[in-house]
Amino acid sequence: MQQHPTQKYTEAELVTLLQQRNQSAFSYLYDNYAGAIYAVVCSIVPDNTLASDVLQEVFVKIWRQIATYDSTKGRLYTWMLNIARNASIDTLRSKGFQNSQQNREWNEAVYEDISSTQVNAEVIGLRKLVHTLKPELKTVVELAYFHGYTQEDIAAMLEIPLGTVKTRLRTALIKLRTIIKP
Amino acid sequence: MDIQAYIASGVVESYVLGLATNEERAELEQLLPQHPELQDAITAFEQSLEAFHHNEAVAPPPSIKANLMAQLADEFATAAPPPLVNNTTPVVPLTNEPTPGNTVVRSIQWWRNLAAAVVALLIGSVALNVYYYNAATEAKQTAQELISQNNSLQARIDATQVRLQEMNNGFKLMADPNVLTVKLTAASNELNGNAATVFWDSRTKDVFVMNTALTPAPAGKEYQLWAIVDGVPVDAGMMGKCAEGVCKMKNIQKAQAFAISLEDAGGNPTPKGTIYVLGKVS
Repeated sequence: MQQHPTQKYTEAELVTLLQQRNQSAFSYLYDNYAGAIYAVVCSIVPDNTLASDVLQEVFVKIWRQIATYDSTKGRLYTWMLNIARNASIDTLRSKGFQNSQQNREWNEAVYEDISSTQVNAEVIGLRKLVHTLKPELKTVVELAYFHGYTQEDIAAMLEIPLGTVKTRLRTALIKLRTIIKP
Repeated sequence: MDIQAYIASGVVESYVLGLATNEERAELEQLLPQHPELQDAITAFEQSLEAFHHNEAVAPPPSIKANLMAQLADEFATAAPPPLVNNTTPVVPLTNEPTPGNTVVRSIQWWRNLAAAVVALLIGSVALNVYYYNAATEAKQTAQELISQNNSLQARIDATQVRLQEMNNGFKLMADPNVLTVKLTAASNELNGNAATVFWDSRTKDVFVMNTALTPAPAGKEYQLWAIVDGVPVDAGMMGKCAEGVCKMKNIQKAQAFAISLEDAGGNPTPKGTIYVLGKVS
């Protein structure tokens, strides 16, 4: 478990240094955030090898897009979190991953052997909390946050009104907020 | 608007987690400048989310950082320009001890850059390998598909050519003035519509038959051609394999008529089944 970053840079200093392409600031950013971001990736991408690739891709994106980060729109971590979630969901939806999952399912069916690189994404981070919610709330958050479906998609998939999706999502998020509140 | 109720509605969390719809996001961003408490609620949730994730952190494989630093090596700002070497540099006495300071740092930097370049090249090469492997696999598959398509096309051409040959033979027989054509028509009213044609070469005495319109033979049955010689039917061959086109039958020296009957598969020495069609040699 990684500890909360020891305050060496303030967030503003860190952003400024990153925008100046400072190598040690990037190294510091990685040391202090990679663990948290990796947990987010692992909670979406259920394959450790692939999750490592995604983590690397996420930090490359952070580095290359840091100029577009606007601190008035939110905290640096929130920005990085959204990059990580989008990259993870993109991977989940990519053709290569779907093929590898098909192969995996086939292998499992034949040998009943789950490769050691597979992790149960459902026991990590926020997803673990989501799985303590009531089934109808859990389903909506699962589809929205961990699979990236829009509220309209979810309404169509579950054949329930859009308003119901919205209510369930918000109810679930309020519950999650109270659980994670320090 | 009751801003406290709005804040408590869950919209803040959807916004931070990237789950808000475009309208929700636009509405919130519009309210933001006038309501500092809304901004506070957002920041508070961002902070607790960040703290939560830090507590739940999972250590990534150590190789990732090394890969990352190698991948981005060219994109980092150089810390300081290297000192210029000029002619007045005093000659450094030759010793076994490496000169401390800049030289060592620069040498390490040089090795580091080289290592980074090597790693980057290796990664590039692996990526290219994977790319070319995939491309080659795809090409192989396409080629396989084309070959099998080509084979089935060839088979169809062969079959068509055989039929064309048969039809040509039929035309030649019909056009030959030395070949007699005998039209065989239904033997009874119930069998109306059945028909066949016999071609009899008057020089070689070869007999050919064309199945013009015979009811398809049921399983276990086969049509048999007979030459009627002085009132006695003589076996002229089985038509089992002659479903279409012109087929060569037995050689018949003399006949006044031809007939086709439906017999057990393999045929009979004398007709036992129903006679379907018959025709006199004119």
